[in-house]
Amino acid sequence: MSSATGSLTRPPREVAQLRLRGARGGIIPKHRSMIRLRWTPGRATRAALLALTGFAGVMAALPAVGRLWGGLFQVALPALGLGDQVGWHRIDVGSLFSIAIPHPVVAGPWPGTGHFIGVGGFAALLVVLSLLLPGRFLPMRYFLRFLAAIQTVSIGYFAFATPPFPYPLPGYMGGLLAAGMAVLALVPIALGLGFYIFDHTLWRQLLLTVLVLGHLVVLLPLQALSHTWLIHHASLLVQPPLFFVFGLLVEILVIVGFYGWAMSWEGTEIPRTQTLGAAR
Amino acid sequence: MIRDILAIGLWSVVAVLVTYTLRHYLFTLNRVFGRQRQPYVDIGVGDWPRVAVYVPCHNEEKVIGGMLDALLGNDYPADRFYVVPIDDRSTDGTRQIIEDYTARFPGRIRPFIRSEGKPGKAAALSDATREAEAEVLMVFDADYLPGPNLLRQLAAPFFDPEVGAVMGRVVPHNLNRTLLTRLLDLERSGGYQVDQQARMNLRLIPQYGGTVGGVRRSALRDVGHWNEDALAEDTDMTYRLILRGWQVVYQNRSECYEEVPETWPTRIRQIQRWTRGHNQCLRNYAFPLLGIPRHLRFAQVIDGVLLLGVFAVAPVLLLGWGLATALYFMGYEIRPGLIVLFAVASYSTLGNFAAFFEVATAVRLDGSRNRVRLLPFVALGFLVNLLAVSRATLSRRSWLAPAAAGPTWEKTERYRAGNDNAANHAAGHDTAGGPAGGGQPS
Amino acid sequence: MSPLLGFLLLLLLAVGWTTLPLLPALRELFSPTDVDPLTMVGRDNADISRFARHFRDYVQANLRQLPPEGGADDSFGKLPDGTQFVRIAQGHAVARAALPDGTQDRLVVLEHPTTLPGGEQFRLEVWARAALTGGEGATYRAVLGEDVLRLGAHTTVLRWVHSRGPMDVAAGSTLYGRASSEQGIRLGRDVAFERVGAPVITVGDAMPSHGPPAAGELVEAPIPEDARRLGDHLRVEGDFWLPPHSVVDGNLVVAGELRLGAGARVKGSVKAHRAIELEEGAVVEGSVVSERTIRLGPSTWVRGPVIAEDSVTIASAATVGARTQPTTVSARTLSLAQGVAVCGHLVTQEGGHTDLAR
Repeated sequence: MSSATGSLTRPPREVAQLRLRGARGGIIPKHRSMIRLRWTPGRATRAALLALTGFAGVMAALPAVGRLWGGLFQVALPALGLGDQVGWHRIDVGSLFSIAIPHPVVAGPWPGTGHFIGVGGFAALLVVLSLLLPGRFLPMRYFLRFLAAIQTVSIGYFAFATPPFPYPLPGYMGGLLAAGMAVLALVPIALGLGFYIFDHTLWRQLLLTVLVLGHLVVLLPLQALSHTWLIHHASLLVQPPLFFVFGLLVEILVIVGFYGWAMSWEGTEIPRTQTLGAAR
Repeated sequence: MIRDILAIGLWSVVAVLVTYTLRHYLFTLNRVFGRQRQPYVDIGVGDWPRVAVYVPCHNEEKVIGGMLDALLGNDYPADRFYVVPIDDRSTDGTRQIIEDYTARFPGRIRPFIRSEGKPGKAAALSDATREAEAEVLMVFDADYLPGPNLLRQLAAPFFDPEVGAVMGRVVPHNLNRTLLTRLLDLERSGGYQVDQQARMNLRLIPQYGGTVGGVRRSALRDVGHWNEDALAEDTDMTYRLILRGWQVVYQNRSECYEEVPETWPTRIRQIQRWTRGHNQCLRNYAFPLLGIPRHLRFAQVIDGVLLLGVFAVAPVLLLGWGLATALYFMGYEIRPGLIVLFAVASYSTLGNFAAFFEVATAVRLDGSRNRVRLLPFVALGFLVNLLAVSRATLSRRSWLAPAAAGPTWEKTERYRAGNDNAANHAAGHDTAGGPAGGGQPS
Repeated sequence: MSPLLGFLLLLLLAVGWTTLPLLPALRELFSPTDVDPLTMVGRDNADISRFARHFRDYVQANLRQLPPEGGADDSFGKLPDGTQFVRIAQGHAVARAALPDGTQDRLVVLEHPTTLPGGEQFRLEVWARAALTGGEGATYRAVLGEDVLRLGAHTTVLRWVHSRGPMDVAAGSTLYGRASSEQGIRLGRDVAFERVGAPVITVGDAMPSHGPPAAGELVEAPIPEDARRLGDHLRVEGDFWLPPHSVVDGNLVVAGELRLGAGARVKGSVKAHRAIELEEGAVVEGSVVSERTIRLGPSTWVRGPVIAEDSVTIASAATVGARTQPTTVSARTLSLAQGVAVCGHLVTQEGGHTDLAR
């Protein structure tokens, strides 16, 4: 079983099993400082195939997603008192691919005095709230102040600027949803780089992909409608904070949430050596 | 014109973020799939060098007893090491505790009592190590809990004559206290299990962390001893050694428990201290490094500069947000990809700017599972860290000559209540479920 | 439905939907299931005979709880933890047919000096309380010998083997895991191993020298002009060759390849970023460290440790360490010629072997 080249030859499978098993049956794992995965052609191929297939699949499905969103807007806009006009914005990717992205056609009014008072008061409320929160909620305090700061900058801008705003509401919506579609298309690629390369089973890899994509397909129009309603009623004053804080950051939050959950799933090679249980 | 200038600024920020993101992705890939370099960890027998273990103390009565017990319980040859607790004008019971141990273990405990001189860890170490007799000088913070085999593991790399300093892995012990401690546990995992080890694998520049590690005495003297004005004497030592031609080794296997901050104000003070110290090193060593010393590879130089810049990235990111906001109001089209990049950067841990995928990978390699589900909360910590680091970066102490008063004793709050179970746990703890020593066969 | 109500429902749906993927995070936050500190491995991986010691403690503690055995007959039993064992009371040469049924599936306790026929596959540990001579082609999960231990040709050990007395490993054997002895280990030809530890390890018949050979006439080695002194070592950028019978006093770090000519000597430790080769009779009175390969030529002497990130090849009659100063040879792969003597540990990440040549 030895080799003149200086390395141990692979033992028969049963012997290999006995080597790794403790006397009472448990597997003896490698120390965590030495654990790694093998970069095999199989792993690389699977990760690449999944990513590329996923990407192609999403691209093929985007027109249908667009139509779905368009239909949703046509139902939801009247119920929200926002009229019933749905615009379509065409995006061409070279000559290969073209997609029509729906967006609500709703006016975002230039802020009036009432808007300044209302939104300004809301920003002040955020600051007051941040001061009232206990010290252990420091990150939330900072977040509220960050939100208030962006809102205040927006108030300052609109106090001195004159129409038109560079980002009218319909265009902003179209941009948000176009960006959302780009995120959808990139999800399989991102998962290819950061998830498919690990030791999860194929069905788990597919599950995560479907969950993320499915969630975002539902989230994006809900987000767009929420933004539209808020901007229509509270004016363009709230559009910058919505864009910066509650725009794509929400999609990233969702992806990170799913990713963290998925990375806690058992794999086939890297053992779990920390015991799980109720906190002591 | 102004818009164009701001846009250039914004894209410069993007370039910095992309660079760090790519760097951390490469580190992650290397750690997961690369060969793990720990060439010295298997040294079981040898002519072990003489070791002096320094434990700088200022008001450490809660923890110093546990630390000394853990060190005395070490399996390093007893005639080859001694412990030097450095008491620097403590006003609590620290000195009394040290004197008690000295009386009980004469020769093995050799205290160094400071009553004058610059305050601060670097100055204390500088004084205490000046007349060191041992070949290897190890340093532990007073609240750490070294295991019984740690000294031997940390001493092993010094058989390599090129090694100037060694760093082991720091593992939080009090992570079950608050959300902050759990987030810091994730941060430590990312920083050590992936970041440091990848830099070791790739022969870049692992960082000596000033605790759970050691320095060769002849290397220390070669580079001119500890820099008493350094706010981060460990980072400062790393670069002085590297620039001179010594190697710094990271040993992922050599683990030691530590206490992480349990409250946000403590964490902010800690990270601001690191920021000022790190930025001081950036000022002192970036240009010498960029001169590409003959003995360093280009990749080492680049990594060294990026490492120096980790704490400067936070204000850069803040600047980026500011520029993006300004440009937005100037009608500049802010591409969604930029927002995505900024968003992804917001899920990084600070201290090493490890991206969230690096943290998730580290936790998985550690054999942990459910704790990685806390990943979305990393963004909460990031916001606090971002502002704390930015404030510290903009402070005078980061960039100008050291303040006339010099460094002071800055350390993390201690939470353990004296020589308690935590110390026993670390001193005698074995693999999961097993008591130290006999019992079950393999 | 009023538009305001419609919006509130929409907002609720949007917030609720956004929160869904955060539920595992929130659950872990409020009902933690993974908050223990990483369990520290207190036992040291570098302790080669750890498993053997633990096994001894385990089996002795368990056997003590059983009623004392009498008589010269073999007996079966069960340890308090349920492990089946067999006590073989017959000593000397044991024929295959004489081994009790089920022996190979039980923990085996050999009470007297025993010679086994060979070809067995012991799935649990073997505890030889006296001298044991294993037969050819046997497979052991693990063996603890309290006296002399001889493993027959083409033996396979899966996890560990340890002897209180001298250990002899016959040709063609494979020692996975750890092999250790409190007195010494002799490896035959074509033996494969992973980790070996003993006061003296020899390949074939060899005797380690007690210390470095006498220096003889040595001339100071010419040092490159651009060499720098750093602390206690001399640093040379590029390759460096010590001519035969030359000497360097102190530690040496070489950024390229390092070669010590025949009879050359370094009174310190050496490190090279690339390969290191010691020609016949060269001596290093310290450690030899390479980020690539190390070749120790015939009759070389190294105090140790010898550390290579790739391979180490040790030629015949070379010695590493001394009885009074055991050391470690650590490499990814390790090749030992006949006549090599190492005092201390041999540690490989991917396996070592002894040469085929007689």
